[in-house]
Amino acid sequence: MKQLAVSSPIQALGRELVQNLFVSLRSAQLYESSNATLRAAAGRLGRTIEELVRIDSVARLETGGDTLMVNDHRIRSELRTHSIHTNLMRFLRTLGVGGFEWVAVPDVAQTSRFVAAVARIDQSGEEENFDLVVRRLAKAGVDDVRVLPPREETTEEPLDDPDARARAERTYRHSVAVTQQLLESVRSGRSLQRHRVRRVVQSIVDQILEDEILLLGLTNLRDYSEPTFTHCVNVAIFSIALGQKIGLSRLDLYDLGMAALLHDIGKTDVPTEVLNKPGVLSDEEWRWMRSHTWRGTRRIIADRQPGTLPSRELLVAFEHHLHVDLTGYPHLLAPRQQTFFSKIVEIADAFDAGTTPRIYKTEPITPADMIQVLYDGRGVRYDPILVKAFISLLGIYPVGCVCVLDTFELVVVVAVDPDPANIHRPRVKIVADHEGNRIAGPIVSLAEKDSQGEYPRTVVAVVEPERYGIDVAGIFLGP
Amino acid sequence: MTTGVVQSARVQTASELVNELVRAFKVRRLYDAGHPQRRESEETIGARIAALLDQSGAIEFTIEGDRLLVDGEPVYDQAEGRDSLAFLMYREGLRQLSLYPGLAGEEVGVFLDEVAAAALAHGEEEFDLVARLWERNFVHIRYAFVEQLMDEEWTPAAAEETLVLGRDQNAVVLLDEDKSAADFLREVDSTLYFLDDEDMAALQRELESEKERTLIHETMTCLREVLLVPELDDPAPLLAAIGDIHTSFLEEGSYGDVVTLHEVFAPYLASERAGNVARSAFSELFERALEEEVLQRLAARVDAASVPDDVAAGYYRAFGGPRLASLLRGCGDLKRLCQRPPIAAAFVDVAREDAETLRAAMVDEDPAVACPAVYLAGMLADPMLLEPLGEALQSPDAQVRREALVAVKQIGGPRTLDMVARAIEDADPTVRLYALRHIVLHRYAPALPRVTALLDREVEQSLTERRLLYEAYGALGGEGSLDELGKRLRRRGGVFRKTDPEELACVLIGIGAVGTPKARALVEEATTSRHPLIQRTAHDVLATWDSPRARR
Repeated sequence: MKQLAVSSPIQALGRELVQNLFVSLRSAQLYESSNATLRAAAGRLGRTIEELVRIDSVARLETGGDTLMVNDHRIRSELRTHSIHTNLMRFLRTLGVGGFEWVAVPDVAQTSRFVAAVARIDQSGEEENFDLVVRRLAKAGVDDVRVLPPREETTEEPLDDPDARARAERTYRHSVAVTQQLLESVRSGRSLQRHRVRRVVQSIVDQILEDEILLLGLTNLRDYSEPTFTHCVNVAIFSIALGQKIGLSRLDLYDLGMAALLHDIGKTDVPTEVLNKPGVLSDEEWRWMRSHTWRGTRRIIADRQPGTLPSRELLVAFEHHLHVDLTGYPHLLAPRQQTFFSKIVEIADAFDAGTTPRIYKTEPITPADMIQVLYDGRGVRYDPILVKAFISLLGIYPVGCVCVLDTFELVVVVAVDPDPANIHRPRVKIVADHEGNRIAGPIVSLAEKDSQGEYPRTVVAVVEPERYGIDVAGIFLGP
Repeated sequence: MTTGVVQSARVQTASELVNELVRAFKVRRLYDAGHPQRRESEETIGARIAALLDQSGAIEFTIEGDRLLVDGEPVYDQAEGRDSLAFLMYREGLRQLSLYPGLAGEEVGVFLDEVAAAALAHGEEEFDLVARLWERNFVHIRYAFVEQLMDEEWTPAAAEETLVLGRDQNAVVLLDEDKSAADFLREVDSTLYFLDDEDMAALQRELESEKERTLIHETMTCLREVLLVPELDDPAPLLAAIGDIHTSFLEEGSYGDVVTLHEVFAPYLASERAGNVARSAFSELFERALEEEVLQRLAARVDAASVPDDVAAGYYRAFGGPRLASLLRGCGDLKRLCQRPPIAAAFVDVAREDAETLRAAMVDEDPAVACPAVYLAGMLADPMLLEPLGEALQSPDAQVRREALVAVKQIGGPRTLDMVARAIEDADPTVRLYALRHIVLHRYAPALPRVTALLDREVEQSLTERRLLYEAYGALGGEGSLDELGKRLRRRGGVFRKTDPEELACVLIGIGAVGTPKARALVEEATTSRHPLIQRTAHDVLATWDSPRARR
């Protein structure tokens, strides 16, 4: 069977492992080793470890950047489990360990001893924490758990994996093509084939849950002839990635993606000569453009499956040009609050629209400038927490941004640094050296310091890729 | 039946695994959840599947029409069309299925349920198997479907064209302005972008709050905004959709949402923008909400506690206000409904707000309207309603008269006693009994002539009615009635004969209702009767007198 980009058992078990380890550690801090609650928690932890070992021969939990990893799979936190993830990561960092690895299945007694030994370590001593943990576990007779040192941050990127790039590109191109077919079909008077939209959204969700960077990078792949379709897909990608960043569940991401992909469906009712008009639109033409919000709502409600009410989709279609202060359009006759998904899609829409060259807009804004626009509009136009989340997703220099470094190298941002403190120091791919030679350079982290403790590379300017003929999307494409 | 040439241990295991899956599928189709047979089978099958996967490791099936293949070998071939597990998956677009060690009975069950549900809903786009499986996000089951496999092969023809956009092989010569030092972004404090626990909690609260609200209000207000857009040329498709949504809500039992829908669109209907088409459409929806079938279903759901009392109360308030008669006609057993305080309060409020309609309903020719209306009048206990209640007491329908009598009693007061007294001559025995009891309870003396006349009337009366009539006669007539009662007690064929002891027992009860020493003497005399019924009744009357309650 071909390797497919679908969630594996490890993801679900990983979430269980994180949850059960956290609960066990908390129980061990509160109760004696013989306590029933602690033993029950340890029992659950043991069962999860057992299942992981059975499937993958090993159960390994470790911190990796800003996420937890189980058997090398990134385990995303959800809104409701966010504090568990952050507290567990904080706890592991304080202990000075990178994580734990089980190669044999422990029984309840062993698991109880393990969590008791780890949870009750006094971290105030002079001793190196890592060594202390190792010794304490040995003293407690826990010899089936390996303590992992803090993981060395590597510059290994999904970009280095040609298969991952090919999968992401397939997902992206297929999504654009299907969206184009669907919207053209709707324009020609047919009903929306929702099952096809669903497949597209599900594949984007799966891809983003695997790794969002590649798809985010591919949003730079502009198809100038059909901006509407790429825009719909890009907005879906940015929305789902933002939803994933703030910990929405998989099903919520799906609902969000559906709403985001269809947010501009009302444009299928706007004359193409208005949509594609080069230059400035007249007042009447702007009225047509602005009408796409309510036209979209009408379209979604008319094309819905009998017995269903796609509230999220029609609300997003209606509200995605409203702002949190209720300015924007459509003009409201009664005050209303913008719904949660509309706020997300609004940010995604604004970012993609602002950074995309349009027929009626000569100069696109650079992604970094657009981030600044969003930041300046927080609390007035955009939800302030969601703006924060969006910036921590993309960084101050978003993925795909072309930057000039103080070394006079030209780089393309490929990932935000996992440490939020380094949000202005992303990982970049060097595309031109200091002499101006175009190179397929390495991926480097601008957060890395040299032996003197100085940053050898720092962004000094953000430039439009067209200015230097940089093919941003090409970096993210498959082989 | 599974056929095929088994060539390897792995294929053999896969074949056994499929047999277990098919067995589990059949068991789930034959027995409901919770059936002991099903539970037992599922445990056995689950354990067997787990053991087989432990033994073989992950197994990947290829789905080909009616067949399942492993390593190119058929392990399942059942040409039974819609009963074939392979065919059901194939028809829904599944082409590959992988089962992983750790797969337990519960997960198998959910998977098979989804296959069965998708088979039932085949053709409905919203509910296809791939969508169902994706939403389940199985831990130990993976699959590939036809579009996904096609994607694997897919290479867009236009890709290259896009790839070359912006590609330039000339050396980069940085502009001086781009070499200049730090721009504004470097000055930004990165901590401003940290998402902390408080932020996440705020987001979670907002999301949870929206989920609780189900966004119906937001959705409806959004549709209202669209209906009010001046450029909207034809509201008919939207109105039709709103009608469908309305129907769905009613069918699902989302009564709160039905109320929301009507509330939200009320301002629109009141506006100039709404034309006759819209008004007529919403009027139809309103009528639909009050159809007997709809109201009966609501009552049944209230009874089954599947609709909360306050939601039902809101519904009755919203629709009963403007159309009380329709509500009363269709609402079902109002007394039963009104045992629930929020619902009773809603009906009372609705009736109080529209007393005129209530009055008219009380004298409606249709007993299905008049009965609950009269019952409501009793709950309102408003003396202003005595007049229509008096009319209701003349209703040709006995049930209406009975309800009216109860309502009159609940209102209370001297005027009502006269109305009750008249009811002791009602054609319906139940009404008469009820009225008699009330007259006795209140010792309403003006009713005595009617009681006396009834005692002597040659009409069919039950023993209970006779007893109550005598009791009323004694209670209302007092000492003055003892002579007549004494005479009746001693009448030829009376106490010392064996004739009609039941009538004499009734007379004794009547004497008992007088309650004076002279009356006591008569009763004590009767204790010596040789007839056991009379003797026992006399003792009972005395015991009642001597009871602490009677003394009080």
